[in-house]
Amino acid sequence: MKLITIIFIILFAFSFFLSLIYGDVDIPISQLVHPNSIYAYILYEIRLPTVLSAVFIGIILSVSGAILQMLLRNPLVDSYISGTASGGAFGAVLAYFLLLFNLPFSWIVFFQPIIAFIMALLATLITIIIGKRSGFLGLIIGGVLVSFVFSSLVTILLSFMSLKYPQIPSLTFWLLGDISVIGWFDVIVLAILSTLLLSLAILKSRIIDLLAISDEISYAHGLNPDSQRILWLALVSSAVAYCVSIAGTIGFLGLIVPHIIRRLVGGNTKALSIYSSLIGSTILMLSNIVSRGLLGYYIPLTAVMSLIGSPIMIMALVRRNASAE
Amino acid sequence: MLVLNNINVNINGKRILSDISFSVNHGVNVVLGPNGSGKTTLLRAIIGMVKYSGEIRVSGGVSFVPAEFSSPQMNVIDVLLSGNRKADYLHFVKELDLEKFLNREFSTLSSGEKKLVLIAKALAEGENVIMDEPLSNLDVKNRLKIMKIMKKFKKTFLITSHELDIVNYSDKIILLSEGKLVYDGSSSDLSEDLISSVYGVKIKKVEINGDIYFRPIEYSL
Repeated sequence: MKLITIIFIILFAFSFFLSLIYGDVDIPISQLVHPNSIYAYILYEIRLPTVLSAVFIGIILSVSGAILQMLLRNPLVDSYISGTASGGAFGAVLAYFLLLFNLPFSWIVFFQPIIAFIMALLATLITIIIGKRSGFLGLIIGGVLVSFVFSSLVTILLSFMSLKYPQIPSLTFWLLGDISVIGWFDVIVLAILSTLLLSLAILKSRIIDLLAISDEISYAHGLNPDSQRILWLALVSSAVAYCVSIAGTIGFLGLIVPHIIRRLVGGNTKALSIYSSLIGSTILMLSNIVSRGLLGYYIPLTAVMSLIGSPIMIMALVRRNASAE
Repeated sequence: MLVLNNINVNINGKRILSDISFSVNHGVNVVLGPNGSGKTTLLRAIIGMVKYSGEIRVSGGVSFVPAEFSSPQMNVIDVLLSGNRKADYLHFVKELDLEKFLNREFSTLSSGEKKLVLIAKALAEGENVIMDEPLSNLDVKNRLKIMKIMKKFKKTFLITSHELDIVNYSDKIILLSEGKLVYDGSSSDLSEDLISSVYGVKIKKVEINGDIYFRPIEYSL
């Protein structure tokens, strides 16, 4: 096994361990193995579900970022830039709005992911259509604008509904992200979605590689690149939409992680997916520790992520323009 | 071998190709014609990228070298293996002397080297190698290298070109004008009057030691 793989695995394990200890309530190391009843509840019903959710969300967002960058041939996109996440957030909030039509509140578990998925896919497709007509940077600017539109819609809907339904998560949650999961249902769904996304990305990695190179060669291989892209975008949108439904919008992770992997390991889809999963979940676990109170108070996740992510994105943008000259 | 029968292509209600019929065999088959004559559309019809009416028969599989392509940050070996076809890539990598590039990042190669990598990929993947403008943006040496590759391997090459010096290397010329086939035959039988009228430029046919060259001699500036 390569040295870098071992380092990544050690980093992952170390972050996982730290994440079990630090949170809203710190769990003493002595309590991790045989916790007493209070710590047992916190550990098994809150801390473990939250940390595992961070791992699976980290995998989904990073692998989605890698796949989107390959499919759209643009290293500056991820599910946040492409509008997928904001669309998903709007869909999730829209599901609460539909409750106003006298549906039982418990139904939300079932139809919220579906509406979030539909809106996520819709937002992504709008961004792609804009990108097709306006080129490399047009895709990014278009995506940012689509995100603004859907974020505004989230704000408007929430302003309207928060009086009637105070139990709906806050605007900060939807726009800037927060992972705090109680119970195991969401963890299991996230586990299934991340496993599906990662294994399909590995299994079909050579196809995605080809889609990143040329539509013509794809056709010569008997593949229709447009329908391939739609299928992948649907899969990515469904996984990202579920993440957004339970953790809000988490920006930049899917953007920066594939960049780090390209520099350290290599840029084919298989390597990108495997290593992005490891590093993406590690970064998200660590960011979540910072977010949940390392500084003594709560900071939204995207605030932490964009501080790390923006400089990397600016570097990538400047380097690309320098190499294009 | 590639056989095309009565191929018609309409894009957005506009007729791009009308009633194209020809067949090509082992050797270098060159589709010539001015910009907008339908060359690229013809190649794209063969790989199923544009809708057409008519019949296209292929024996031996089709592979493609596009005129433009993206250069993702992956190694040359990943580019060769992309698409997951079972093919003997290494054989053609050796033939084209590309072994030293295998573990280099594709995006760091020169445009000529990139093109050679995609040609090696196409040679391994099909008996009918279709190339859109394989000679454009290349220096004299790389152009010669690609023309020699086509002569060396016993495959059916169908390529488009704007370089008239390719004519001397070709076994068959297919000349398109405004979506119609106006010539299908050997380079020696192609008359300078026909090619001049198709391009709208006076082109002279020159024979030197049995080699045939077409030279534009008048640009109406």
